[in-house]
Amino acid sequence: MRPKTLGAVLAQDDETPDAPKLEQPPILIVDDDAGIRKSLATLFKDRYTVTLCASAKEGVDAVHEEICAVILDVRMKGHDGFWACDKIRQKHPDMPVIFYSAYQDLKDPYRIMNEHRPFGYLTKRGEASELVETVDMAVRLRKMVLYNQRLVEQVKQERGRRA
Amino acid sequence: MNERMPHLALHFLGPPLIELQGVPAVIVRRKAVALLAYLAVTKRRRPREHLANLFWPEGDATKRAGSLRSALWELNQSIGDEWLDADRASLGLRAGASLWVDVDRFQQLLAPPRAAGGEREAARPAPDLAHVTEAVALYRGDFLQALNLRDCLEVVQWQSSQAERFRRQVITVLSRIIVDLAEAGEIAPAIPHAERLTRIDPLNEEAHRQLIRLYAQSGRRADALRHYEACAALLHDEIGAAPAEPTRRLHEAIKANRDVTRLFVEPEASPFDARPPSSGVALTSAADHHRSADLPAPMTSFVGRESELAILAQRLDDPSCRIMTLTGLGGAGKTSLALEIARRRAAQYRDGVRLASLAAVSAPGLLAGALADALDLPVSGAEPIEQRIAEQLRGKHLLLLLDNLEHLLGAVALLPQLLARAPGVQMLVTSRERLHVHGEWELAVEGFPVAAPGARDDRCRDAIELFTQAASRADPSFTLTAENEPILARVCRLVGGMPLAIELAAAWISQLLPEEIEAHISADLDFLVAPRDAPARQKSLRVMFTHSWSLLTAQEQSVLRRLSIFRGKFTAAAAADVASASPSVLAALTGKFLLRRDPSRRYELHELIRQYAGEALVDAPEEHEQAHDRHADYYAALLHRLRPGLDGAGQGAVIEVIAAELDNIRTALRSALARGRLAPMAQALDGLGLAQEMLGHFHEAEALFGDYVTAARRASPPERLLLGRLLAWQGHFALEIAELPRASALLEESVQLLSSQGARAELGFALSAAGKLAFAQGNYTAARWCFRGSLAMARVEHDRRGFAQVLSDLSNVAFHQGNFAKSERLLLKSLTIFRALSDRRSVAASLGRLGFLFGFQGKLAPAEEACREGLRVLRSVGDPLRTAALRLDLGRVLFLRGDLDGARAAYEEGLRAGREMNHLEVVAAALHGLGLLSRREKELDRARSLLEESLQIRQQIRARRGVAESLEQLGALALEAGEIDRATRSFHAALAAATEAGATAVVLDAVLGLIELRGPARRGPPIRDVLAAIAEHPMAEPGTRARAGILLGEPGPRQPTTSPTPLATLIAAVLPTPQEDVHAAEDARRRAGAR
Repeated sequence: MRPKTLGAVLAQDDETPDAPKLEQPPILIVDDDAGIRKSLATLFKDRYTVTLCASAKEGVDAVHEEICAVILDVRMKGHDGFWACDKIRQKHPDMPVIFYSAYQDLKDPYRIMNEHRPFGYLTKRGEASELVETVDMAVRLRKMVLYNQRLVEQVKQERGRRA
Repeated sequence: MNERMPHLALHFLGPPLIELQGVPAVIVRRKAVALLAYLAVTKRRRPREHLANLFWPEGDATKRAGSLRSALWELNQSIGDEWLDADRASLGLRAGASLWVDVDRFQQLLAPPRAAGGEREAARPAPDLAHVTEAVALYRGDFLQALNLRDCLEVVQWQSSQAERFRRQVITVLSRIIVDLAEAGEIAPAIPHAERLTRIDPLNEEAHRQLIRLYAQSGRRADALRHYEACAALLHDEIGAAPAEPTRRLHEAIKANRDVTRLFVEPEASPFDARPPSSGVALTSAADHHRSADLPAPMTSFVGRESELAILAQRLDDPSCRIMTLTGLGGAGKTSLALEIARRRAAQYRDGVRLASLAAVSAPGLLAGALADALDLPVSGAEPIEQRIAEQLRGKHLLLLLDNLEHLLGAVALLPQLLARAPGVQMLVTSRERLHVHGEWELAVEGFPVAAPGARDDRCRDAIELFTQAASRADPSFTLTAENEPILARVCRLVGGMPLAIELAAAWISQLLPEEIEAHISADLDFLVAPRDAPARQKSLRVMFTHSWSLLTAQEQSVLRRLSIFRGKFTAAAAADVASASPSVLAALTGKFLLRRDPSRRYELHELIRQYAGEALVDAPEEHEQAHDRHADYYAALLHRLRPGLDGAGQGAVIEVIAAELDNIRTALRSALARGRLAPMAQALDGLGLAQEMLGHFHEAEALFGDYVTAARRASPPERLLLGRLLAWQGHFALEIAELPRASALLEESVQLLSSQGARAELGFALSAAGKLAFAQGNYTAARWCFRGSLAMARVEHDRRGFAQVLSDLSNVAFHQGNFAKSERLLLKSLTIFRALSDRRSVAASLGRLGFLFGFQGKLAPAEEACREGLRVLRSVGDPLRTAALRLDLGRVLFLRGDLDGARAAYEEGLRAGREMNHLEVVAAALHGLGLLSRREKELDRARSLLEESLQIRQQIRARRGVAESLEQLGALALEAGEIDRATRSFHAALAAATEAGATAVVLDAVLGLIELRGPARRGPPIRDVLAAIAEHPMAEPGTRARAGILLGEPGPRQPTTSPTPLATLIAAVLPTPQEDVHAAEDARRRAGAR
């Protein structure tokens, strides 16, 4: 018997199992360089619903629970990417953040990894495929986290109602 | 692995594994792998056309040649172009190439050692135990296991014959090891071999008996009694029989605490002799050096043929008779005659008789390989196989019996070439046709002499004797009388004196009077033997089958038709369900020589009879389809029925039952798939998935479920629930074989489908697998949430086992996040539940994790105890993956306790098991452990080789924590060897990988390594702070904390703190400025020089 509540947890259009239709998950790209924003939007538009932000502040404001990954430039005018990452994590501790930086930054990579725990840390001179692969994996895992969070919450509510 | 690493290592005994410079090569095309195996094992250069026809029988010549080119292209891409020597016309492996083939090594290890000074074989020493043990370890499974080549029949036949040959050899050798060790009083070392034998040959009751005895002799009385119960359950479920009398006596003796030592050497009449006579791999020097034991025992007493035997003896006495061919029709008795003369003359040949049974050799090109097999020729080196056979035969005095050569006439030119170089060798050949080779002598074998019409009947004496023997077996009350003898003579005449036809006719005696038999045959021959120019006897076998068929009741016919659906052996219960075969019908068919029953009461059809019966089944389309359906339904239901047993106390016995049925299970599910029937798989899925996991058949399972996934996607109406379940299982196995991206996609889709179907229990399983995947990728957040989702499903489903499983998984996450107390609490809770459920394999897995956790915290005695208890629990279950994982855990604990021999044994056993399963993660972990051992023993080169091999595998399977761990150990090794630059590079790489994977313990080790590189002069206050932080860091292993304490000059270890210094601080302190880097390197070099 299909429980009504559970089916609502992950509403999917699965009329055709041989080609599972996955809605395009939302991702956020934060970079103060318009050219980079445009090229990243082109890179990801067929895979994800892309939101573009031109500053760290704008990016922090745009993040919400459904976002599956955030690609953050490190050096930006105003606040930098590290600031944005910390702000995002305050509200969304499990949000996958991928630093995408043009330069060797002041902080060493270990410090970045340990202080900010990004999902990935890539340079703009690297292969685009590497970025795509990293974002794909981040999104996949984020979706799994979100799904399970809702599932656990749903079960909790069900049990609460029964109790 | 050999100490000197070969460039290209080919492992074919088990799922194929190709290693280039120690790194597994990825070859996608299964036929490319098979082609490489074929060239490597047969050791011959082959015409391209031959290979193309063999491997790609479909399509035209151009297409076949193109397919061969594609396979060669992939091989060259994967392993480099220096191994294959291809020209426009032919293809082979390059002579002199640095190639290691497990099959070669296997044969080499099992060959009797070469005697000095031309000693006779009988005087040669046996291969020593170490060689034999290595050979057994090389045998990871059937030859080219899980390599599906169903569309090239000839290659499949070759693969099957090779697989059977190696399997036989390993069974023989294991049996001998066990007996030899037991007789030498080496009871404990014999036990693992006996356990292995019962896994490879599960219906061998003698093997079970040996194991029970060994358990008892080693003081493991409870294990002995448990194994008896498991054996009894298996026999009951499998063949509906109780254990044999000797087994029961042994059981009683153990229960009564009587000494069972004497029972070990007590001769017992058993179909499974512990010392099989047919061995080219004798461990002890064969007393019967004439090797007559290589010939199969006659099923019945030999009848007549005295004149032919006299002629043959006379001709073989003549040294100029080098090749003697017995020609004649099928069923004329050529093989029986050849075997009889060979038996009678075996003692006259210094090197005995060797038999090459060639019926299963599918192509002329395989003749040389079959001869090499018959001669137990170690196939190694780059010389052509023919040359090695010639060298092997040179100086030998033996009779080589080549049985059923008629379909290999294209290769017989080899025979005189061999004889020319081996003057002491004679060949005795059976063939329907002459070979037409130089020096061939021929004896035409016809049926028994039968009286011409009107002549005296005593000319039929031999034929009548054979009839009487066979008839007496069919009806013990049958006797030859003056009245029936003339009738029998006429019957024998009607079938041309053909022995096989006489035996089939004799079987009718239980239903027909002799005159009725005569009348039936007469009528059938008149009808069937047309056209007139066809030799009557050529038709005799089919006539006899046809007539045997006509004498069957409609019910018996129907049963026999349906039984043709089985592959290999089957139980009476299966026959009843699939073919509606009652015990009386089975008995009737057995009595009529149409069905065989083996000593373990499993049934089997003779291949020719199966073929005839199969033709009849195809002629009844409705029954044909129904038989396939019932076959699939039966095995699906069997798996469904056995599924709960895989969780409980009897899971070891249950898995053995399933293992014994796997041939039919595979056939059934493949056949259902080909017919578009998904229902059997829907029923079988969970039992099959769990059984294949327990048996370690990850690749096979992943492939089968993948094929079903394709079918389920196309199903109309959509099979969403089944598709979701299949995806979960396929994803689970993709994870086990380290195909992480594929596993990720499969599990994501599975979760989506199962969620939409509200299939909570199945969803819990899929989420658990997704959690394991995230964990393997080092993403603990996603892993934790997946496990929590799975836990929620287990809760709502009241699934205690699933609940306990997830607790165990969550404990793993807690451990890697440094929360040891939580990790232990979760584990103990899961352990309690598993124990309550009597789920031994899960109990064992939890104990292994507990052992690891204790070991990490330096609680070594309880850690060892937990691991050993886990292994004890697993003994009766036989789960190779969990057993291997536990051995690795135990190895680590023993290493930490300083028991290096024990650790080595555990790691080596884990390595063997990992290779058998082709489980790369286990292999890499075992290699890593062995690398640590070598480092501890100052064998630095060997340590480096092992650690690098481990690193390469871990990089291949993207095991980030493992990669970090390997890099850190390579850094430590380089530091120890004074290789400062290399050590620096390795520690930095380890630091990066460990940071990325969140492997805190490895980060701390790498930081400590970088500090050790600095030397005392450059360990100022900031560095001393870092050392102090490591010395009390809760995620540092005790050894790491102790090393940090020593560098601080502290007398004892510090207690772990609850508020550790952030890793970033520690890392920042040790990462030098570029200038510091230069100083550090110089400083370290100076210290290395001083050392």
